[in-house]
Amino acid sequence: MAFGVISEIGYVALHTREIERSVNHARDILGLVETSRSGNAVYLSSAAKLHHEMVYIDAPEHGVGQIGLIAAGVTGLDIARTRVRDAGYPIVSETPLHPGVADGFAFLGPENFLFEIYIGPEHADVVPSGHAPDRFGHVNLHPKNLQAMLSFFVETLDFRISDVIGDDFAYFLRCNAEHHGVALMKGKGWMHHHAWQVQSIADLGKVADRLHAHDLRLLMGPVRHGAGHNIAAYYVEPTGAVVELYTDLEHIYDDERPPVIWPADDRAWATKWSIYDFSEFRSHGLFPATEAVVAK
Amino acid sequence: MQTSNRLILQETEHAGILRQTAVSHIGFSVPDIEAAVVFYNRVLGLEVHARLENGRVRLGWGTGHHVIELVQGQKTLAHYGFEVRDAEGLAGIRERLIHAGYEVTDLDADYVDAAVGNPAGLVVTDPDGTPVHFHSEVQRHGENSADPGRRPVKFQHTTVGTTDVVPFVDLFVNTIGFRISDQLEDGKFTWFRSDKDHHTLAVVEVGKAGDIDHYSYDLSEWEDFKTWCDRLTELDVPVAWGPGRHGPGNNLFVFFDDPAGNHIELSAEMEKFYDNAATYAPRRWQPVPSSVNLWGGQLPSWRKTSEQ
Repeated sequence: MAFGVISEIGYVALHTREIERSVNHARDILGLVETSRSGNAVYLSSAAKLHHEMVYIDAPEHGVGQIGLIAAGVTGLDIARTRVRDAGYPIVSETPLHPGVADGFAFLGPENFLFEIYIGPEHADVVPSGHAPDRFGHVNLHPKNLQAMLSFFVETLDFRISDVIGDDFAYFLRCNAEHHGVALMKGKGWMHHHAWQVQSIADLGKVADRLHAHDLRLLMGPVRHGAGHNIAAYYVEPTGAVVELYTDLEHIYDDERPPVIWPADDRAWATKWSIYDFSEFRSHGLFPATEAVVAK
Repeated sequence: MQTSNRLILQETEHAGILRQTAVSHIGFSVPDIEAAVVFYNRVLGLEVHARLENGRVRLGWGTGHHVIELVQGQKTLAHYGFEVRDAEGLAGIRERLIHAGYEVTDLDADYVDAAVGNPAGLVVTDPDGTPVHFHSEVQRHGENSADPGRRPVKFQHTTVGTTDVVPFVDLFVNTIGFRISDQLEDGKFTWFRSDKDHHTLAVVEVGKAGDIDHYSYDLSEWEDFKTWCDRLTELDVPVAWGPGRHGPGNNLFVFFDDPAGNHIELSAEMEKFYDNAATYAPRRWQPVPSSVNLWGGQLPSWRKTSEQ
């Protein structure tokens, strides 16, 4: 049960200047299947078999197209629409940006990230890949103005704070029982990664083996995070965005659970097993697209 | 890119004579024996089998042959041992060693605890002066009954640190009868097999002779690495490297240190050589970090490769 206007993290749409390479990579490494194509957009899904959890849009430059959030029913959508408008975020579209959903609207959020809030994702009649992740899980954003982005998610969209790292450094936010649907870390103003749930640590070894078979490598992991308790492995996709596969994520069934506070110098929030240098890991990311490309 | 020298390690007709020989025990000195006893019991489930003269302590799985002998002193390798199950294996090793001019002595029967039949064994010193034991069959059922979630399955290989790999090839491969499974192209790291496992012994140039580079225990499967990494975290034992997958041996790995600073590996899915008749040319891996971890990641401070 959602406690706010948003109930789930729905999809991420990425602009890519190499659409076939991006789609093939998502198929071969991540394990998504194409559910449909329309004009310049390719729609993909995991074992969740939805119309889209990932959208690649053919565009002149790589960039984050939009982030899709699923509203808590018709009521949630209506309230979200009013709140977003009242908060002054420019509405880009009063109707859904993509086929395969019942209703929705899109707006420009903080730091030029485009968001779509929608309801009624349709199921797709596809056979999932043998190495498909279970479902799309979360996005990790690195806003320049952390407090403004935090306020957007918490005040406007009812997200709750699960974990806090240091002083003005990072926040993990949830919109349902999953420990985080959005993670925010102070940074360069880009999306760092999009994340997909898998069934066990076995899948994290298998993705590392698939990467090696394609002459690629993990960027990080497998690591056990302290914040969220998930085990995760990361790699970089052709757009430059980082992709996370995770399992064992903490679920919070007490909606009133107070945030866990991690001191800035306690590195266990990031890794409880081996200690890594995260500087290269955090040097990757994908900025919001500067040019709007509408899916045709 | 700066390319280091290439060195192809040569095998002679003796390579591959041994087919049923595996590590049996390892002896090393540590500054604080009791701290090591506590650590190995708490973390790896090893129990005290015997307390011997000069403060030496033998640890094992509670039954069968011992695994570790702890010796009082600064951290270094004291000896390492192999159990020879090949028919006429010990006699053949002795003959080849003597013929090649190595000095061979008899192994004290005390080192062949839990012997099957009459204990027998020999000692030869490796090129760095460390005694190497080869002995007759022993009972090892204490190992293979282990619960891999709390105890590793068995002691699996020793990797010796040295300043020159080539004399080790002359001794272990071209005289004793191990076979080269893999090497780095610069000849500074090589893996030897003496049974179906890709390596029961490895030798690496680390700029210092005569110490353990690391030694390794088997886990049964990848899922166990999650259990182990979480357990090590609970026990405040930092994971030093991994989880990852090695190129040579193709095994999954994770590393952590004992209180003396010995690097301990947990390993699973090691490549096996089932067909003795198959022709296999040792692979020559680039001496770069991604050869020792196919998944990428970062190397611990103590693991160097001659190229980046």
